[in-house]
Amino acid sequence: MHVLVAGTGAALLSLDRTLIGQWMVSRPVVLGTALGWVLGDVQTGWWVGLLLEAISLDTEPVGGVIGLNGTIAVSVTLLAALGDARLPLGAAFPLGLVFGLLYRPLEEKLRRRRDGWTGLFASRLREGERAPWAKAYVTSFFEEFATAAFVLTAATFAATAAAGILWRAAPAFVRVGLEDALAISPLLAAGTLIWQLVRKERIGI
Amino acid sequence: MQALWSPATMQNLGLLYALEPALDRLYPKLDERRDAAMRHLSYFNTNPYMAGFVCGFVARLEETADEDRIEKLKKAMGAALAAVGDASVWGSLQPACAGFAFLAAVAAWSFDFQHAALVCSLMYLLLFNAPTLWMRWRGIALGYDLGETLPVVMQEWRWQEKARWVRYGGLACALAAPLYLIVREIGFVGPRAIFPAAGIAAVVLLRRWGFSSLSIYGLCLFAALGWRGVSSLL
Repeated sequence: MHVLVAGTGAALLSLDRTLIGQWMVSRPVVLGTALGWVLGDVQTGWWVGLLLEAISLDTEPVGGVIGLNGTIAVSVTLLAALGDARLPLGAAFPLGLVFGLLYRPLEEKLRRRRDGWTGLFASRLREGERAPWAKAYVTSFFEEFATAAFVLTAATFAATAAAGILWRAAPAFVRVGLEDALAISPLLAAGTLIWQLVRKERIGI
Repeated sequence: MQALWSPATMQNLGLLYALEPALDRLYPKLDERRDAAMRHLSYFNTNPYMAGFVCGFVARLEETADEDRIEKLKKAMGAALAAVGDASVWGSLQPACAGFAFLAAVAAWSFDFQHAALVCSLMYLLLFNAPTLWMRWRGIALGYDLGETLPVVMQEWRWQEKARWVRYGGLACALAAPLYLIVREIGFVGPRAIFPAAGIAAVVLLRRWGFSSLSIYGLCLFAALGWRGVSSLL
């Protein structure tokens, strides 16, 4: 039940990323803490959120650029690690990153679908009708929510189960290596955050 | 503003939605209102947190009803504010908030404060949303009141300098947090403290050379698997 609540909440909050508000509640550091609280381990949720927050700062959402989807990445990581499957964090973290990357073409498709609205609005206005705002907004929100919910469901059940099987079947050095890479990740996060703040072209503005 | 964002026309529909009440008031006749709405279906884009300024500015321009002028100035203002907003918000405020939240959480954790995670999240949200909500809300009135003098006034506000100081603050926090952790956990004196510091420096260098965070993670993963693989064989 907790997993269902967490997954649905994460899919809803993913709307904050671009469509509604952009109040940063979908950011990994905030969403990770919230998911950790729902799933019973706030510390892990916060820690994973902080790591992914720094990593996802790599790409700024300027123009049409689509970077790693930090919302999906943190949700998949925590649903896999703290959900029913209890996948070790060493495996859940790269799984989250993979889904965060795989979401990019889906996001591109969702954006392209919205290209058609301008044409519809133009034809309605020419005919003297009011613009179909409610229909456009509800459709846009629903498509985004449904896509995120589908991806999180697929990740939580199918991908996590597959990852669990691979984890148990993997040689010991692979498991230890994945845990080592996770242990180094805080250095990656700190270095990425520091770089974002010292980039020369920014200082030069 | 971005609920109907699309690659072809970007924020045009969001801007039209925001302007609709003003257009309804300025153009009581259906034909004029339709023409005014149609001209805002063309491509438009700006930083979402600066969009309030543009909305107010365009509402003011609509009172002149000069179509060419509205279109040109709208796009110019959108582009100019996009540059300011991207540098201020995405380039400065957001990473600085992450840095400050990191330091706040480390400080709370070091004092055994059980709600370190909550402190981190709330600080992040507060630090980011306080200035950006102000920009979004007040921006509409300021954009309208200042009109074409908006760029000059914004220059006087010295956005770039303020953004620079925000970055410096965030950088200080982002450096202080791992430094504190290293000193607390490992101790300042001794070679063990060098390794995490060297690791962070290596990441900064790799980022400088164009490696993304994900590719650096991939390198770390490859190195860790290789090291453990070799160790298991020996």
